[in-house]
Amino acid sequence: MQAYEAFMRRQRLPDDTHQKLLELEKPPYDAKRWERWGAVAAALIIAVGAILFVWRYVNQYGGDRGVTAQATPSANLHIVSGALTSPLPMEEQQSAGTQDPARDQGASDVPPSSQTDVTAQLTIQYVEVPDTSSTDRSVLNLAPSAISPDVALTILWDAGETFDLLLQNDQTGGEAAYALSWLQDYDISGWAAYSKQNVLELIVISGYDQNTGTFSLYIPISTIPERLADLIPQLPSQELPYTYLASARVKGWVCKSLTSPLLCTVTSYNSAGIFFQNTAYRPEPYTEEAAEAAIQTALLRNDAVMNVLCAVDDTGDILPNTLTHRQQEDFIPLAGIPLGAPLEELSPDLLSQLTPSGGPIDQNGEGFGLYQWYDGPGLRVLTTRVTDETLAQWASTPEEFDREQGREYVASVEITSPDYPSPQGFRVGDKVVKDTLNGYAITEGENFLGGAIRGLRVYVEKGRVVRMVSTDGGRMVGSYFC
Amino acid sequence: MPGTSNRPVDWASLVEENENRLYRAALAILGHPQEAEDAVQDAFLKYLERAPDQLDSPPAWLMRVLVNGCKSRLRLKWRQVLPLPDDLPVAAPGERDELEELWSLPAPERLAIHLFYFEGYSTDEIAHMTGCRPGTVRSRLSRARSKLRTLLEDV
Repeated sequence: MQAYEAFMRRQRLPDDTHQKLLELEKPPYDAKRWERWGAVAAALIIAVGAILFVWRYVNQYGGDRGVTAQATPSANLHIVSGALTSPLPMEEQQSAGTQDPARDQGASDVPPSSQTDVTAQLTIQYVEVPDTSSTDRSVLNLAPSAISPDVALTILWDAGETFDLLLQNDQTGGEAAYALSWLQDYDISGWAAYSKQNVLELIVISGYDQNTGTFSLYIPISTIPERLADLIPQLPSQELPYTYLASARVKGWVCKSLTSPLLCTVTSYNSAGIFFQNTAYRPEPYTEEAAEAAIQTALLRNDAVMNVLCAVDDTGDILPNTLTHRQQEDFIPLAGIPLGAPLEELSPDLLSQLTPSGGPIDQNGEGFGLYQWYDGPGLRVLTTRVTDETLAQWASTPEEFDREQGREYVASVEITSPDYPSPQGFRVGDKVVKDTLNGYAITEGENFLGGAIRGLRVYVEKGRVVRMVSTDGGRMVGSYFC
Repeated sequence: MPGTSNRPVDWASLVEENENRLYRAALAILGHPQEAEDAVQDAFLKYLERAPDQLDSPPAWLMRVLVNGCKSRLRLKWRQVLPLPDDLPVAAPGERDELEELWSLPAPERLAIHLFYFEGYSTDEIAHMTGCRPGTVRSRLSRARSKLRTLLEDV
């Protein structure tokens, strides 16, 4: 870094630029306003000119052919206006018909030869009009409800002011917006969420980075700048039928991603109410209609789309072992132990070294779940499982009850041996130098590296790492998390 | 016109205390002197236009605006990796290899390295300026360091 520092120390803003900065003035608002009105006026002039031009052609050619004023001009005018505003290929515009049934009916009365002639001539005007076809329709046509990564990125980049607002409002994911916008760090995807009435309600944009995990940004439609609105697919997602995921009754909407398997955004609810990742809605009295209404309300609140991803096949069926109620990439495994995994799925070697060291206890005192500790060489594993009483209420089938009864899931892993480095390279015994550990800052006052690195906490005593703990963010079991 | 200026009264000191710091950061991100100058001017202009009346830290606000402006400039050109441009100010003998290695890093990592090592900001402060999470800054620093190590080994 010495050469870099020496180089940078020499870099200074040129004197003339320095002088410009000193004399910099805030642009008068009136001037900006006049600029805006000027732009609007220019756009109006262009639009009026284009309409007059089109009208002149329509009158000239339609009239010459002697067709009726109601039928021919309308039909041909529609094709032209479609060309002016729609980036669809001309063949698709013609096959799509108009929004006006009367005009469509009229179009069928037009002799094919005359319609073709007029269209060909007027299409030239479309070429001369400034390009309005920036929307990547080819992408959207492939996946009507998905937002392609490119479009998602465009929304992220171009809606910076929106995200500033999100940040100020402290909405979920707002902080992630800027992080997402660095192209090389994240795989970006997105999709549109629709209400039951097929009204577009919000945009969900997610980014995944192998080092920093997954973020999701929920953007209300009202905050999407108008200039970006056309980028959003106008067709609702395919709605999944009710199904069961991990014994929870769920409903979801599928959208295709161009870069990954089919994704499914799922909200789940059961007879006790509707449950999302962070919020429970309990419509009283409970009815299917009330549940639906609560889902829609929750969608509008932007906190209801559960971060549940799963791969589904072409028919919408969930593929086995692809459900992630918790986004596992958000959790940091220690000693190779996957958080959230059933205990019995750990390797036989590891299991043979673990011995029960505490529990089971109902630590929360709610009667829902039980904690159990296991000790091994240099590590401790905490598991959770639901009580039989809870399971009896939650399980939807006898098979599910049998499968889940007594089943323990890894909730936390604690390392006290230098044999198990964290993915960041931390080891027990590592020396902390000037509040940093391998370049990572130690959170002052808390004595551990915590929230900033997701579920990993690194405990430090007397300048050395003494233990590391990685914790699962919570597992949804029926109607609660444990 | 001194009597009608809408600049803050301490404008000159604000400029002098921050202009070179911002310029170097912009240079680190963009790798192009002229674009860096423009980015600095944009940042100060936005300060005049949009800065809230009560700012805890004008330098941090300016840096954040500058970083966002640089991101926009990078986005326009879709430049992921910048080679050391020929029109960069002349590097002294022995500096060029290290500079080229640093400029081979992606912009976010280059920025993190610059703000952390050169400007001496903490990762939390960098996170605030760049609008990302402290963990992201740390991971960028970590990745940048590992890449630089690899590059140095290759040399």
